[in-house]
Amino acid sequence: MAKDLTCAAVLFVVAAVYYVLASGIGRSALSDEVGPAGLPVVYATILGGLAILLALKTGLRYLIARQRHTHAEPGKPRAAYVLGRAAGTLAIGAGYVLLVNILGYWLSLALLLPAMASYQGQPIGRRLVLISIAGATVFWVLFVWLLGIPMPQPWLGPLA
Amino acid sequence: MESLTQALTLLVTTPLVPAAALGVAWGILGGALPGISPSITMALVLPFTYGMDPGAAIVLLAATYVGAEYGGSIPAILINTPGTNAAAATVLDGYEMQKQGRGGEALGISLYSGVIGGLFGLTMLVLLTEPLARVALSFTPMAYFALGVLGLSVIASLSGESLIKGMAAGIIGLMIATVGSDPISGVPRFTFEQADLLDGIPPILVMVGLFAVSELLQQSSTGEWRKPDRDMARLRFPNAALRRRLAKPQLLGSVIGTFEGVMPGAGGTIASFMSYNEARRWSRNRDEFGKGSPEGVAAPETANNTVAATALVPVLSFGIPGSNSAAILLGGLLVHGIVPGPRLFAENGDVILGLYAGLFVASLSLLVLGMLILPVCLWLVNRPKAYLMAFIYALIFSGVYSIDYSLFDLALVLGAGTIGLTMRLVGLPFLPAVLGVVLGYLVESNYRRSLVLSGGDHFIFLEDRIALGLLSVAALFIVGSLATRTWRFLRATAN
Repeated sequence: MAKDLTCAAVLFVVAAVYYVLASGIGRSALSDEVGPAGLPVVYATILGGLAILLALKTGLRYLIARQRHTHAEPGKPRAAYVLGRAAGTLAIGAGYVLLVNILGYWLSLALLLPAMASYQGQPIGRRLVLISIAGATVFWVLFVWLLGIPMPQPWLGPLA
Repeated sequence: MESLTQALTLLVTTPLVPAAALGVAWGILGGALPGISPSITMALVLPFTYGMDPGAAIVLLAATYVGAEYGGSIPAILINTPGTNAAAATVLDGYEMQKQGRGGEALGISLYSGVIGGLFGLTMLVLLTEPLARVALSFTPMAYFALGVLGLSVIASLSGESLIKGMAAGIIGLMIATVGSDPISGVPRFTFEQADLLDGIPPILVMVGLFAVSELLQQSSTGEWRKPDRDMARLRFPNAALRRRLAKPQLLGSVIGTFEGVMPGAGGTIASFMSYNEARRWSRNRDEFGKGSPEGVAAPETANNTVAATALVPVLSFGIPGSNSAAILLGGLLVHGIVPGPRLFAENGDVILGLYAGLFVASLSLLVLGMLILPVCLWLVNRPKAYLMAFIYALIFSGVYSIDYSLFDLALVLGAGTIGLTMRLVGLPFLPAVLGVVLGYLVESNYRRSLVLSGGDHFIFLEDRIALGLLSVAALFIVGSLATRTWRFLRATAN
């Protein structure tokens, strides 16, 4: 029940923000009858309508459930824990994106691999270091050497 | 008979067999890496074809395409990351099977279905190139719009428990597809003055974010994965009973793949989603879909491998490339002085016969190479969870960067992953959103082009016979899904 209401609220906010942004899209002399904002406004309106419909449906279900004296579904107490752990994983990824242009592809990977593995509970030790170095080298061979992808170079020079 | 003899002679006297095997091996590698699309895999091999015999060069390129289309299913099944757009529908049941410790079975089904689809597509290519190409040429913007609507109509049955949530997810996908330059006037929309967003958000980034990154984010808070039984983790081909069960979804996938493949622009993604949907509709085990159904793997895999062959129809007949991969193949033909068109068979009959023979070898190579490569992949995904998650993260970043050499794309994938996690937490399904992202541009651009042609008159969609036919089928799909939902609801209420 709470999940559906949260879903309806999130959808409504998305629809409202998107509608405001869509309304601000300018027209051009090349525009057709529908215009660049035409379909986005329709999409936002439909999404807003669906959000309201979902909220009404959830409310109705709640009323019926209360009349029948049934218990509401228990909330999931782990949601905050899930979000906290996910934020940590995201932070590791964001760290890679920020550092890769400074440290270069190989070194950034050699740091990403142990960071992620140790975040997931792998003890830090010689094995983890060796696997990370080997892993970063395998990725470098595959993407840079074999596929010829110009991965980011280290800012400090090729030696880094 | 004379052509068959000639094709067999070409196989023996020219380097077609090694070219086909090499192309498939390279293609599987490229397709299996998220972000390395079939077209990038083909583009990487293109320079090596310049000095080659024309027949072997074309076979190398076509076999790379076949291998890459198949390769996309490997990460889709094993790590919830579609290697190609067309493999997105395989994720649904393939990854469920992997989570249940049946990854070996899922890979066996996908390989078996991929070979069936490839051979069926090749047969269609040989027999029906001319008539099928004529159908493709008669497609107008109205028909393409209707085709997009037909694809979107699948949302009604892919929505899971809540139709409202499914439709909302579909709309979110359509919204994401509007980011970038307007298809008619070029006005920037939702780009926030970021030049990186002017070309829109590539669907593969959204898919990798929604499926793979959000899975990593959610798995961050769970314990060690259950180890599958040693026997279950082995590559297993379907037995006789399962092969009989898979025949229907494979037939549906082959027919839909043929239809979609010959139309420029439609491609394997619509084919695999529609095949998945139809396989579920006609299955006796409908309730298993989404929970690890073998049919849910077989149908989309057959369809996208059929498309890999039938997509060559418009290229060979008219020189119309329906996709980036087809455009690179066309480039390969032109580099060797082979001009596609009605006179192709008269002027370069031996090259085309060689291509057919090479594609046949490529399909068989797929089977042999798959049997060699897949056990290694299965071993890799059964390593400790912490290492596996770290390597998947590194693979996602490396693969996504390879698309456009852009760090901005990595940020987009992390953003899509966050949206995916939010969708998981509030119970919004992914597949409708993916359909919206993939079909959004096709629907909007052709809807508006049609209205420009008609001066704003919507009746143009009913006047075009193909559009009317496709829209009628879409309406039937939607009404059928709604009727089924209502029937189930009434039955549940009565019980």
